[in-house]
Parts: sequence; C-alpha cells; structure tokens
Amino acid sequence: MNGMFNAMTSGATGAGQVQSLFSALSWVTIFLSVLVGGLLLLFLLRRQPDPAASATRQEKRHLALRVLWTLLPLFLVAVLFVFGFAGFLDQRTPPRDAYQIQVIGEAWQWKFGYPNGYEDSELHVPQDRPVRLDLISADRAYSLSVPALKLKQDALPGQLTTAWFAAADTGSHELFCSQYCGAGHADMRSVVVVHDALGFDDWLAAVSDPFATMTPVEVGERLYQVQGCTACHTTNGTTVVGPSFQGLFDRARVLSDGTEITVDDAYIRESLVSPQAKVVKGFQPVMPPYGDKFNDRELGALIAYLKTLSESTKNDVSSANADTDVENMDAADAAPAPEEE
Amino acid sequence: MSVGAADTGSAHPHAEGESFLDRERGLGSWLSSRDHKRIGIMYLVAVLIAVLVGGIFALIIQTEKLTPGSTFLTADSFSRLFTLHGAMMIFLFVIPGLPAVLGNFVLPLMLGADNVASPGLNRFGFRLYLAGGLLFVLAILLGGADTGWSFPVFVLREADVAVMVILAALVLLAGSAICNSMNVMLTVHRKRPLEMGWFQMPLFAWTLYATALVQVLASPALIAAALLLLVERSAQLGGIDPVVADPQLLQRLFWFYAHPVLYTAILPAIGVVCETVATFGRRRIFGYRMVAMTSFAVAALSFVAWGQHLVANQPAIQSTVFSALGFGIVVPLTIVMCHLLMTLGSGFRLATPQLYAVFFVFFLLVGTLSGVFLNTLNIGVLLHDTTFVVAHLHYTLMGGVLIAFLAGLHYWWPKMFGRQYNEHWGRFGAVLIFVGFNLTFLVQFFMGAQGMPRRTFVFPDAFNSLNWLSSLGSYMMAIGFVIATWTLVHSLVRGPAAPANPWDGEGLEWQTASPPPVENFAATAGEDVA
Repeated sequence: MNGMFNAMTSGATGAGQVQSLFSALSWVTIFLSVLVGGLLLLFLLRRQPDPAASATRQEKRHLALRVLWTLLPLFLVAVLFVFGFAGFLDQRTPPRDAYQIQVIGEAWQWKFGYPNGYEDSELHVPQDRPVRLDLISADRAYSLSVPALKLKQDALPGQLTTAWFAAADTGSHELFCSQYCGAGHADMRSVVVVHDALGFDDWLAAVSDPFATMTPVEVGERLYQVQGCTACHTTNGTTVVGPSFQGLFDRARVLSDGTEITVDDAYIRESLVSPQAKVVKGFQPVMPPYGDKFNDRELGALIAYLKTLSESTKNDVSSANADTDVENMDAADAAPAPEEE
Repeated sequence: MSVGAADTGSAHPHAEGESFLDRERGLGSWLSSRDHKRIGIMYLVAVLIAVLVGGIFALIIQTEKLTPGSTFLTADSFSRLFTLHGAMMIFLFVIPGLPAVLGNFVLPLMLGADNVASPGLNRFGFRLYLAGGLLFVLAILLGGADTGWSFPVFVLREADVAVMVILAALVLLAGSAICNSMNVMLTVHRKRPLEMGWFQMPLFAWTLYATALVQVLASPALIAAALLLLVERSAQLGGIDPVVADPQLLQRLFWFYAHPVLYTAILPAIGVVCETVATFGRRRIFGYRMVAMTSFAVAALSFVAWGQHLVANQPAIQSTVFSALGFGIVVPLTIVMCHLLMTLGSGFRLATPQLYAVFFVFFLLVGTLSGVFLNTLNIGVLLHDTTFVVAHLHYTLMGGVLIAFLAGLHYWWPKMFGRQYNEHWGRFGAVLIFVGFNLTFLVQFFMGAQGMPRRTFVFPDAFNSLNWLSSLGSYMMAIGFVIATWTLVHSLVRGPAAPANPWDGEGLEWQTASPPPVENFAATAGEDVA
C-alpha cells in the first residue's frame, strides 16, 4: 500500500503539496471503492427478498440521504478544485531567480541549451536550486516527462511553454517523451543528472571548455564520439559511408578528379570545413560541412586524434601532443591499410 | 402518429413463421430491410466484428508488454496496433454501439411503436456505418495508421493514405451517428403512446435521448475536423497547419466533438443498467425522476468541458475553468450511482444481466473516482500520458459502456432471438470478465502513478512484474469473452425457446412475442392503419 504513495514521492523540493493531495485522494478513493464494492458484494450474496413484499412496500423518500449524497461530493470536489488550482499555479510559476535552461525537441531528440550557449543531449542541473525550463519544439508536439522530479510539460511547435523544478538529491533520473509523437516516440529518452552546486559548475565548465581538463587527443576523441562522426567513419578499418580513420593520416589517396594527395593536416582541416572540395575517389560527396561546429582548437584536437589512429596501426607510440606543432610528425611509409575502392 | 399500444398489454400468440427473423430470408432481404429490429441485429453483427478485431489488437499489445523493449513488434507496428485498437473501439463501438444496436432494437418496442419514426433514415444510417466500417478494413489492409486514435497535430505533415482513409471513415460514421440520433429523438417525440408522458418513459429512452441530442450537435465538429485535414493534406491551404496557424485549432475541434460524445456514451449504459436493475428488483428505480434529469445534466456539462484534454498546453485560466466544469460532472454521476445502490439495496433476483449491472456500478465508481484524480489540476498534469489515463478510460468505456452493453445484450437476447442461453455459463463468463478486467487495469493505475508512460513498450525494469500482471488479466478477460460469446451463440442453436417475458419485466417490449413479429405488436398494426 505504501508503495503506491511512495510512487508519487519525488526527488523534487516544493512538490510536497501535490504529493499529500495525491495521498489524501488515494485514501478517499480506496475507502469509497471498498465501501461500495463491499455493499455490492453483500447485495449479491444475501438471500433473495420476497417479491410480494417488495411490490407492496411503501416507497420512502430518504430525503436526508439524498441531500447528503448530493452535497458531499459537491463539497469534496470543491475542496479538491481549490487545492488542485493552488498547486497548479505553483507548478506554472517559476521563481524569479531560477536557473534557466532552453529545451528543444527536434526529430525525436531532446536538446538542452545552457546559459553560456553550450548544448547537450542530457539535462544537467544543480541540486536544490530552482531550474526553469523553456520548452519549444522544432517539428511536432512532444512532452517532457521526469516522473521522479514530478516534471511534465509539453514542447509545442511555435509556442513556448515553461516548467520548473528543484531537485532535492543528487543522482540521475530517467527523462522521456510522454506524449505519443510518432515513429521515434519510444526511443526519445535521456537522463537528468543532478549535481551538487559545485559539481554542476565544474561539469558545465568542463563540457563548455573541454581543453581545461582534457588533452587535445582526448578532446578530439570525445568530439569524434558525440558530434556524429561515428555514423560514417569507423576507427577499425572498415568502411561505412566515409573512409575509416584507421591509418588514414599520412596516407596517399587518389581524388575523384584523378589527382593524388597525401592526407596531412591541411587536407583534414579542409575536409572538415568544406568536405566537397577534395573527395577521395570511390566515395560519395555527402558529408555536411563542420566549419561552424568546430573552432580552430577543436579542429586541431580532431587532427591530433586522427594522427594517433595512424600511429597505433604502425605500433608507433610516440606521444601525440597535438597542441604543439604537428608538422614534423614523422610518418615513414604509405599506410598499409588496403584500398577500399 | 402515436400508436396506442400501451393498452393492448396481453401478448398474442403468433405462428412461428411470423417473427421478424423468419418472414423473409436471404441476405438481400436483410440488407434492404427497413425494420428497426433487423437493422439493430445487423448493427450487432457489425459492432461485434469490430470489437473482436479491436480486442485481438489489444491482446497483441498486451502480449508485447509482457517484457520491456521490443520482443516481436517494432515500435512502428506497435504504434499501428494501438492506433487501430483505439480508433476501432471508439468509433465503431463505444460511440455508436449502444444506441445503434440496443437502442435500435428496443426503443420502438419500449414505446409500443411499430418502427422508428424514420425507417428509411435508419437504413441509410446503417449503410453509412457499414461503409465507414469497410473503409476501416481498407485502412488496415493499407497498413493502418500510427497516429494514435485522437489524431494529434503531426498528422498534418506525415499522414499517409491509410490516415486519409480513416478520416473519410470518420466522416461517414459521424453521418451515421447523426441519422441514428435524429431517429432516436423523432421516435421519442412522435412514436410515444399518448398515455406515456415524459416521466413515464423507460430510463433507457431518456438516456438515449440525451445522448442523441449531444451526438447531433457535436458530430458536425468531427466532420469539420476530418474534412479540414483532408483538404489541408490534398491542397495545402495552410488553414490548420500547426506552424502557420494555432497549433491547437485541430485539437480543439476534435475534442469539442470527442469529449461530449465519449462522456455521454456512458448515458445509454446507465439507461440499460437502470432497466435491468428495475426488472430484477421488481420495482421502479429509486428516484426515477432524478436519474432521468441527471442524464441531461451530464450531457450539458460534458458539452462545455472539452478543454480538459489540453491541460498541459493552454493558458492557466482556461485549464482552471475546464477543471471546474469537469468536477461538475462528478455530482450527477454520484447521484446516479447512489440511486442505483439504493435500488439494488432493496433486493433483487440474480441473473446474468443483473450480474453485469452490479459490476457496472463498481466500474462506474472507479472510473469516476479516477477521473477526479485527472481533473485535479496539479495531479492531472503529472498523470497525463501515463497508463493511469489508460486505466481510467477503460474503466469508463470498457467497464462502463461495454459491460452495460453485455448486460443489455443478455437482458434482451431472449427478445431478439427467442432463445434462452445457459444461465450458469453466462454468469461464469461475466465473473471471469470482471476479475480479468480489474487485474488488467487496476495495476495500470499504480503504474501510471509511478510514471509508466502509455503507448510504448519501452519501460523501466521496475514495471516488469506489474505489466506482466496486467497482461495476465487481459488473457483472463479474453477467456471470459470467449465463454460469454460461446454461451450466446450456442443458445441460437441449442437454447430452449424463450417466453415472451422471461424476466417478468414491466416494459412494453416484454408484452409481445419473442422474437417479435415484424410489426412488433400484431394487434395494433391493424388499428394503426384504420
């Protein structure tokens, strides 16, 4: 029995009102269901009355009872309305000092935009601080739901909606779309990660400026994983859509117009910024430009990461500190990887 | 125009060949018939097929939900199944079912009339329904839709042919509902015996009338919504495009129709239960006048509360007004339940229809109470789009409408076909359905309160055992339905002949033979012509 009410319990401060209202209503419901169910069972199991007796029986008016069963539910729903309304206004009114996060639903994915411009697919929030979400959808009607935080709000195309909450405990909770939105509905999931106040600032600083905590190679590897490169480029030598990154650096390639080039810093940089300029023979010119997604340091980090993939194939363990000059990186002979085309 | 049948109470014995079932034979004689009884039975067959198909879809869904994640369905086929399940059950059964099947067959008999007021309109209504049903079959053959039965905004951009076919079906079905409802109202006005005042009418007639009024007024909104969508899709006028226009326009049109129509679907259900409770209790329903008038209170309140479905995305003031209006409906429903309890409390004979009626009262109570949760603003926001809503709507539409439909079917079955079914098997089926139903949907309340989303088979492991339990309940319910159907079908072949008045009922429908002759009350047919 307690499990049912714990279910409604939440890790959100300020959600106590809705919680106690839910519990109270649950008890009333259980009481009434058991009462009426018991009465019906009694009626079903008792002996049949004498039809003759009931036919001649004088009909009583039961006025008091009728007044009672009209006024009692009226009173009950009036009370519920008032409490529900009060709680609803509270749900709809974010505190002024709330931490603001933009939420965009697009193509069955959630994007969370933080005040410094950083975007992430996960919702990270500080503990015990009111967080205000401004939701919008780029295509269809979604609904953001985090049951553990008692959070639910629609994200609609062309109409801004807001929601707020304050997470009481650190940890992570499931986040999903609760309103059926078509093909990708079931997989429109993410997580809410609640950090303590200091942890949150550290997290945001780290993801916003990865170079502060990671080596360029590590940053490059992370960019490779989170920016969608993995969809077309592998690091194990197999070709998916684009060339594999394994052993790619320093390798001689033939372009679609017949010229021969060597994969070096400049070529990778150009291929990221304007991928269609020099397409290797046998590949389709389908890659979108990434010039506005990566800044110079990030481009450098990616190049550094790619270099390590060539070194490991040659069992060359020379360190790859890519923030330094990378020009003199020595690469002996042409890459041994077999030609895919 | 009124037929004075009330005073020709005694049943006349009829030769066997005279019943409406036997006078003419062959499919053509049925399809061209203007006899309300034959049309009612054709509706019965069509509705039962829709319920069977929709029920099979539900069982497949419940089987997939035995385990989290995709087991044998893809997300796409799962979406198509729950869309078709919802659309077929609601548009082919819940909304037209009780008035078209039981209302058609019984209402003229209850009023001592020879037919409905406009038999031709009645036949036209059935043909529209049939065409709508066939379009649904076509939509299934085309692969079905994955939009959800209430056609959310994104339909506009992605709707495929099957969705268009279903929208066309909805236009036809709404037309059919208008024909039926006009007939119900006309019949009540024009075909009542002079001696029968409004407050002498059976409660089933009252509730049918209230529902008909709502359907006539609301159905045009569905036609408008469906046509707008069809035009928008084919011509791209931008009138209801969610990006150009108010994204809620279509939803508001839709719920303006769907909310009152779904709420008042419970009224004829209440009417059926009032009939059985009165007959088996051998008394008039307690507080007859009050119950009669509350049906109009429910109709009026349901008509202004459509915005309850848009709580999450409308201005707070609107949500507040709709919440207050939604709470209003609790009062008449409570009054009805209390009156039924009072009537049941003075004793009754037990028979299969009465057993269903008793179950109905419990289902209506749970359905109403769970509606109170959803209508409390701050709780409702959190419960929206969870299985709590699924459980609530099944308690009202399945536990309410379908169970009352079964009560009425078992109650008037001897009148329809002149056969008695096996009472023990009938009760056994009813009990299995009751237990299975509660198992299926009570646990969905608990899961919903914990945030289990509806319309998905992806759920946290914590919900494994509850989902498993819910699926188990649905199998049990399915066995109950098979037994109930078998009991009824078996009676047609092997059942003993039913007397004119097997339950000692006082309604006029029991004053004629079972099954009734073509002209319903043989003696009055001559008088009417004269």
